[in-house]
Amino acid sequence: MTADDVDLQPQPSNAAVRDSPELRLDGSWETHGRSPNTAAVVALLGIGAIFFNAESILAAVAIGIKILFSGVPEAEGGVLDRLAASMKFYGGPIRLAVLISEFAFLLVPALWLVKRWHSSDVRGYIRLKNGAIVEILIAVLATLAVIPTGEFIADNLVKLMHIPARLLEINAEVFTSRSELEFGWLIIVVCVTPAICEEVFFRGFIQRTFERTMGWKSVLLIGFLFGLFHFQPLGLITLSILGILFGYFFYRSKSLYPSMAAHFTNNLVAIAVLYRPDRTVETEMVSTQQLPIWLVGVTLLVGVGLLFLYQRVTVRHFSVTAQQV
Amino acid sequence: MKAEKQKEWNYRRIGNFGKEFTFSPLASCSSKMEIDHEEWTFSGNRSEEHTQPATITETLMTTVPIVPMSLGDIFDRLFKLIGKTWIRNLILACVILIVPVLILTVGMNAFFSSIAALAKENEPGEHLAPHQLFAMLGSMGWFFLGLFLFLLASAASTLSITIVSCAEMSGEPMTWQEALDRTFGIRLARQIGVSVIQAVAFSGLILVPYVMLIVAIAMRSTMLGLLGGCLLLACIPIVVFLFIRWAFTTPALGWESLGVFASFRRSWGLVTNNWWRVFGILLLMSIIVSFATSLVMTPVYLITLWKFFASYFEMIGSQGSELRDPSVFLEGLHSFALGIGIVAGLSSVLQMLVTPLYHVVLYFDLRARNNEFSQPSPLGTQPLA
Repeated sequence: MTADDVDLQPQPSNAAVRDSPELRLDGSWETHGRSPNTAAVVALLGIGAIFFNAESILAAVAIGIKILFSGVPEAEGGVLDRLAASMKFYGGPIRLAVLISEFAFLLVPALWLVKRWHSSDVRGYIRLKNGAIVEILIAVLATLAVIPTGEFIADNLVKLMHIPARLLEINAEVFTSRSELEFGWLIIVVCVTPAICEEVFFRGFIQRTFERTMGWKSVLLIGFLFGLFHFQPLGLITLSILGILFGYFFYRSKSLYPSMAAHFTNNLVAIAVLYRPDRTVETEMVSTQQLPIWLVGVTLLVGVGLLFLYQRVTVRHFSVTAQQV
Repeated sequence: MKAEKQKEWNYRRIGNFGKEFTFSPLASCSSKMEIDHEEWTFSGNRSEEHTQPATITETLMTTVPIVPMSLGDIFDRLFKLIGKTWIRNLILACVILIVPVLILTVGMNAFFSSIAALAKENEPGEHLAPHQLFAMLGSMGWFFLGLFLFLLASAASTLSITIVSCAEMSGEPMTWQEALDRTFGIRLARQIGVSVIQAVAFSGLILVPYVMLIVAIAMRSTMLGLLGGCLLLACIPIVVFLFIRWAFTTPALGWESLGVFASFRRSWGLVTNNWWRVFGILLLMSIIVSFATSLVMTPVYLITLWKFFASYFEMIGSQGSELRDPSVFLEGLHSFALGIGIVAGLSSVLQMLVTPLYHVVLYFDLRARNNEFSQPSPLGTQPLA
C-alpha cells in the first residue's frame, strides 16, 4: 500500500490526532462523544446565519451614520446612475462593515467553538502551522493559473443572463480603488481579512472537522459550500472551483498557510484589476471583452500541472509514519 | 445515582461510535401490539405483560436512552435522526406534495400567462373584455385550488414525517408506507382541525388590530389608530406565546393519537415550566433551517427562474439606464410561474425534512423532563394501553 492509497482510505473520527499526535481532543463536544459532522454542520449554519445578519445590520448602521454626518448623496440621471452614485457613496461604510463582521462574527466564533467543542490546542486543530515555503509558492502559482478559467466561466454566465455592463460596474464599485491609499485599505479589507477569517472558518474549522470522518471528500463538500456561502449564484461555479482549490491545498499540506496565501492572491488579483489610479481618465471599469479561449486553455493546463506538482511535494504528509497509523 | 449516570453516559458513548450492543430493559412491548390510544393515560401504567425482561439488539438511534438533553445532545440527536430517516421522509414529502405542487404551478402559470396576454392585447386604461376576465378568473381558480391542496398536503406530509420520526426515536422504525397508512385517516382530520384552529387564532389576533388600524386611517381617527397600534403590539407576544405552547400538537396527535383539544392540552402541558427553553431552541432551529434553505435555494432560484431574470436584465439594458421597455419582461412572465412552482415545491420538501424532526426531538426531550420515561429505555416512549 502506497502513501497515496493510505490517503484515500476513510479516516476514523479520531483522525484529528494523525497529523498532530500530540493534539488533545478535550473539548466538550468530543468528551460527550458526539458526532464531529454534527458539530461542523451546526457551526457552519449557526455562524453563517449570525455572520450574514450581523453584516447586514452593521452595514445599515454604518450607512446610517454616514448619512447622518454627510447627508444623502445627490445624483442625477436614471435609476442606474443614481444606484451607481449611491454605491460610490456607501462603499466606505460597506467595507468597514465587512471588515468588522469578518473578524467579529466569523473568526472569533469559529475559534471560540474550536476551543470549546474540540480542542484547547486551537492552533493545532486548525493547522495554523508547518507552512513550507515551496508549498505556499506552488499554491499561489496554481491559483494564478486557475483564475482565467474561473473568469471565463463567470463571464459566459453573465453574458447568458444579459446583465448590462453598467450593473456590473455598480457591483464592482465596492472593490474599486482610485488612490494608493484606498488600494492599501482594500488590500486589508478584501485580501487580508478573508484570507484569515474565511480560511480559519471554512478550512481550519469546518473542513478540518468533516475531514475526520470524510477524508478527501471533505475538500469537495466544503469547496461547494464555500461557493454557496457567497450568495452569488452566477459566481457559484467559479467560487466552488476556488473553494475546492483552497481546500485541496489545506488537505494536502496539513497547514492553513497555503490556502490563506492562495485566497489572498485570488482576491488581490480581483482588486488589482479594478485599480483606477488616474481619476482624470475615464476607463472601462469592467471589461466586456472575454478572455481568449487559448489563454484559458493554456493557463488551465499549467494549473493542472502545478496541482500534480503540489501532489508530489505534499506526499510526505501522507506517509504511513506521518499519519501515525 | 452516580452509577446510573455513568451507565447512561456509557450507552451514549458506545452509541456514538455506531456499534450495536445488547441491553436488557425492564420493560418492553411488542411492535405488533394493538394499542387503544384513547384509553392511554400519561401516568404510563404498565401491565404485567409489558414488564417482562427482554433482550433487544438495536442500532444507534434506538439504543440511545431518552433522557433530558442538553442543546448539544439535541443537535446530535437531530442530525442522527435526519440521517436515519431522510430517504423515507423525502419519499413521503414527494409523494404527498407532488400533485398539489403541480396543480399550483399550472394555476400560477395560467394566471401569469393571462396577465402577460392582457398587457400585450390591451392598451393602458382599456377595459377588460368579458372573455379576458373569465380567463383570468378561471386561472385564479386553479391557483387557489392548488394553494388549498398544497396547504392540505403540507399538513399531511408534516404529520407523516412526524410519525416516522417518532417511531424512529422510540426504537420501532416504520416504513414510509406504514406512515402513509397511519396518516390518512382520523389523524389527518385532526391535524387539519389543529391547523385550522391555530391559523384562526394567530391570524385573528393579528388581523383584528390590523383592521382597526386600517379603519382608523380611513376615518382619520387618532384614538382608534393608537388603540389599534397598541393592541397590535400587545398581540404579537401573545401569538409568540401561543405558538410555543402549541408547538407539539402534531407529535401529540400523530404519535399518541390524541384528539384535537387533547393535543392542545398535551402540548401546553409539555411546555409548562420550559417555555423559555423551548422558545430559545425553536428560534435557533428556525434560524438555522431558514438559513440552510436560503443557502440551497439561491442557485435553485437562478436556475429555475433563469429566463425570467434574463428578460428582466434585458429590459434594464434595453433602454440604457431607464426602465422603459417592459415588453421584453412580459416574455419572462411565462416562465416565472413554472420556476416559482419548482422553487416552492423544493423549498417545502427541504423544510419538511428538518422542521418536523426537531419538533420531535424536542417533544421527546420534554417528555423525558416530565419523567415520562422511567428508565433509559427506547421502549418507554411507546404509548401503552
